[in-house]
Amino acid sequence: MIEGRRTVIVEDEIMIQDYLADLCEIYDMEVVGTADNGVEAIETIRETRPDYVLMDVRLVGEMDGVAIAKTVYDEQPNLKIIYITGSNEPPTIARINSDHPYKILIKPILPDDLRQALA
Amino acid sequence: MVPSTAILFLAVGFGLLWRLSKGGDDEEPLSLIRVVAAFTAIVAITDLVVIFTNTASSIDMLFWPSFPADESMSPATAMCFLLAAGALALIANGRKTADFRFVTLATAGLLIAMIALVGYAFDAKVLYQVSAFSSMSLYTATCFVAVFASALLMRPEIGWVAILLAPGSGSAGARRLFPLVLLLPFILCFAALAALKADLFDVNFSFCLLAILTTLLVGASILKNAQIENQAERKGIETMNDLNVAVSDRDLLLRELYHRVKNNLQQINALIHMETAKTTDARAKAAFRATAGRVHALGTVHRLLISSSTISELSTATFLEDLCENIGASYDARGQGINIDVEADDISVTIDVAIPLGMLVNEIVTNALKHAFHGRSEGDIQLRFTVGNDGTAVLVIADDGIGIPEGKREPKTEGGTGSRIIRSFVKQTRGAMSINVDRGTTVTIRFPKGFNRRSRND
Repeated sequence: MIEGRRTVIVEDEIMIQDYLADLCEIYDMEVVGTADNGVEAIETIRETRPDYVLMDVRLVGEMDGVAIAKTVYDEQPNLKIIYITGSNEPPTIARINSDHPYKILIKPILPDDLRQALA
Repeated sequence: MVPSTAILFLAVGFGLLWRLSKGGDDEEPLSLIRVVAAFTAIVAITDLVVIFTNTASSIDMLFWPSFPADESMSPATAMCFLLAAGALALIANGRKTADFRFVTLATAGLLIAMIALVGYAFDAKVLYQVSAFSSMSLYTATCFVAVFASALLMRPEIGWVAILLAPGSGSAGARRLFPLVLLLPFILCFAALAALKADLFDVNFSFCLLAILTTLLVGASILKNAQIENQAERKGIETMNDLNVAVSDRDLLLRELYHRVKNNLQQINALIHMETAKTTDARAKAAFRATAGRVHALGTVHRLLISSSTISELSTATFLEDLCENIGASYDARGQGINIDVEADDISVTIDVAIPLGMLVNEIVTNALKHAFHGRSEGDIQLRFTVGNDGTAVLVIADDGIGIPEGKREPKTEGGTGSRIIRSFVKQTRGAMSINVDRGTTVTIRFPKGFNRRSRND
């Protein structure tokens, strides 16, 4: 186990989930779980208690990334949530900022963007 | 108003108030209301029996023989109490047929009470000539109007009260016209009666005038209603036109968006081809070519969405045929003697479903074209996409090639990228894949129920 570098990836495009997992491996992060919807994400974060969550905003199903973050943040206030979103329109950014974002990355992201966010 | 009438009004009023305070959810108040209704009905029926069998002049006289004979609960009052009892028993019910009966009884009661009220307004003496109404006092009639009106208003969600109180423009028109329709006939008749009494007109002329004015009133109400309906319809048409404009604007924007995405994908392909031309390494060339094929598959999705009649969805049959034709052309299937046969059920799918489906087909068909026919001069690839009645779907891609050696039962592609893409999209669609090697390779992917309903929250 890599102390302080444990990560959960929440992303509904599995190709992008895989890509982020590859990048995490390169940057010495340990991917302890992945999820592509709200219910699964909350369950995975509760079970694995990661240090970081790479969080997509628009997801399949009822909950979006911000709703997931708000649910788990109360239980794990030290959680660092890095939002990775394709939606950079002001209402979405305002909604993300209403939570406790650690960093916000706008898609498409380059490997270096993630490295800097995790640094 | 005689004591028996007053007692029954107390009982009925108590029943209505009890129902109002309990909301009718509890069993207890419902049975209590039924007891009150039964009591009211029994007293009213007894009164009617007493009057019609001439046992006494009224129920009051039956219990208090010294009671004045000319004061009694009139048959009309007893009838109204019977209707009130029925309405009370049914208000506590809740079934649809009971609702209809409740409205009928309460409305009938309201009308009888209003006949008495209007009679008093015109000439009280007239009422005494109609035996059924004899001695229904003004207070009794007023109380009945109040009782039946409140009973009807306690169930505003059913019957004509529901139509009158509904939010639609038709109901708004009815609410506007209702006071007019209620009051004007009364005022007209009252005026005709007054004119007759004052000997202003003779009877025939009064009735002529009344008939014409009533015609005028009814006609005016109908025309006013027509005007309201016309206005509502005009508004509806305007809204519909606005919506149509908004929808076509959205379609135009979406088509423009797909067009730009398609062009961007085309540019990516151009960039890949430029790099491919520069490299001499065979493996790198193959990787670039495979990547170009994947980008092309994404481009096909957008190209078909632009020309689709429903802009956010495309038809699976056209899509899979078009895609396989493209793949075949880019790997020169015909030149190699390989025939690709596509039979796909035609359903509409959104972009979120079309992309995984297209990427899966692209990988598996490309893989077959590249590896299944080594040393062969001809071959067949069959693609079947079948959608079940239960909303599941099966994608079968079978070739009659050389098969995959044991131990490598995952589609073999350059550096494992293809198998990784396949695994990703099978997982994303919650599908299940199986590979069978028997005189060729058959890849079967089963998609779960509702696979074509995948959409993101916004």
